[in-house]
Amino acid sequence: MSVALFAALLYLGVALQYAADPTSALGALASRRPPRSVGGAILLMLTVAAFALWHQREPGPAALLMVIAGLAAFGTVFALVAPVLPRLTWGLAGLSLVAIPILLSLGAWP
Amino acid sequence: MHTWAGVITSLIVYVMFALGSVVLFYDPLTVWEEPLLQAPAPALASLDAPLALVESLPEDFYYYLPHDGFGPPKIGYFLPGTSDWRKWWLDVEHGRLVPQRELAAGYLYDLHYLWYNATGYWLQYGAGVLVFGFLSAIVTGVLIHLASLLRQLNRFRPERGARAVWSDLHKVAGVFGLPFQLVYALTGTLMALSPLLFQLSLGPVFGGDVARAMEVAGPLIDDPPPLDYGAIVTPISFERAAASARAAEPRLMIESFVARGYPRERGSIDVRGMLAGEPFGDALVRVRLRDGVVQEVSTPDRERSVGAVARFIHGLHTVEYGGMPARVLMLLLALGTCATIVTGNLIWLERRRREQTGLGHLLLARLTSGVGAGTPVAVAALLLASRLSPLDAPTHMRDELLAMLVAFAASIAVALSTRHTGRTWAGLLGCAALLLAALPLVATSHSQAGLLGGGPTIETVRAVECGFLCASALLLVSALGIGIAARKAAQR
Repeated sequence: MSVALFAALLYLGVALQYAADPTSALGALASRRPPRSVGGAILLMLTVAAFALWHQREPGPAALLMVIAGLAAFGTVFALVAPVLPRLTWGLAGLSLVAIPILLSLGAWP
Repeated sequence: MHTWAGVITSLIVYVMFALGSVVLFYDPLTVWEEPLLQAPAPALASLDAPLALVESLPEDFYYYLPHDGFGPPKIGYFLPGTSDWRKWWLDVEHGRLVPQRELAAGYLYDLHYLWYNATGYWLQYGAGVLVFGFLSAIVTGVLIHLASLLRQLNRFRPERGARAVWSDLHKVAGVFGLPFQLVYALTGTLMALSPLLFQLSLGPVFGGDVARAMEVAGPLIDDPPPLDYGAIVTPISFERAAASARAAEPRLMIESFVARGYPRERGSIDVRGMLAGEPFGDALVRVRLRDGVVQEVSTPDRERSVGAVARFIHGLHTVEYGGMPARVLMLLLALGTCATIVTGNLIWLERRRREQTGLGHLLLARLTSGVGAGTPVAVAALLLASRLSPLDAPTHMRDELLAMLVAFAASIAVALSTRHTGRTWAGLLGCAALLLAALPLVATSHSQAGLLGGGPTIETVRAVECGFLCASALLLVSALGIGIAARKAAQR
């Protein structure tokens, strides 16, 4: 369950940032400045939450590697798939939005 | 330099990354392919009992304990004086040695870095050099696009012409996958070339002293050069080696033993395994063969800098963190890298479409489609052959390799003889999809533990077959998409 929560947090974060500003996806994380959009701020919060979640599951640098890999994979999915199959990407984002509270209520956060 | 380095290295590096994406699931694939690994591990009277089945143990050998509570233990070694690696299952319940009979996952693993018994290290060194070329292409690509990296990160214009689509895809997949590509190109180069670098440094750095070189840089290589291990002695038991190792490092979860110089005076047994709760937690305790004295304990908190470098190189490359989710994410990024490589070639071809119609242009265009789409066909053919050929047939492993090579060669031949590369892509990807879709059904001839088998199911086997069906669906959708696009382009 914590794996699903981890994926949903990152996917939703990338989706919201992409919705707020498709031209600077993940810029909020790459830039040293504070995030310039609500989407960027939410992405930052959800990324930190995903990192904290994985850090409880696996100590050391693994949590950071997982977050980077997740952001890279979902970022690619959004930049490439969203313009072609928007319903698929946004549908998954909608599912993530629903899944996160359900997974939390089921005890996915250790 | 970016373009030339990319075009020259592209096709072989593509094959290496494509096979690497499959090899991410090496362990589940070995369970799927070998029914012996689908049975619970036997109870071992002692760690030495299985080895009693071997008539004469070689000087250097690997002894693997059952993994995750399944399958018998096994022994592996290079046939003396050759680079032929052989493994035997130690079937303690029936008191027999079962030669390794299945090698589909092994072939994929080895060919991922161009290792093959007949060619030995030289092809592997070639792979290392090629991946270094790919690393150069990555670095120069970043330098070229540095100023516009963030601006181009989200530019994907599927409504524009082919050149814009390939260019956007190349940049998006390339930039998002940049950390992955850098890490894998760098660690892959070092892993492939480290035996060569070790050999080259023996004279100038260590004055030809192999033992000292092994002591300093041993963790960077898998197989040491021949050493004089002295006179034959009565060796300690593996039980005692395990006890010594556990006493030295209580967190060690023993997975395997590596005996070197067995049973000689200066021989040793490396007791290897992971440390409980430690990421990249490979550990090794070296025990002296003649008296069980611990010679070396290599764990993250005790190792020297060379050991730490080797551990991180290996741990990053083989994804020793994150479990299955990490491997799935790496799969996506590896496929993204394959797309980056192929689109790089397509950009080159589109740019030269009007002015270049020479043989080189034609060959690159057709080879890109032949190798690009032929790789999944070859992998699917290998897996299908592993299920169609009788498991105990003496030619089983040869048949697997033959099927893979014939499928790959046939794909390239089809591509070279077909004028429309789009149709080649669509046809070959569709073919790979059909072959993969057939696997769960065909696999019932060897094991009933899968999706369509009648026996008790094994979760790993079912998961692997679900993976085949997902890959088949993805390939089919890609084939249909490319086929439709190719038809539209032909009509225009």
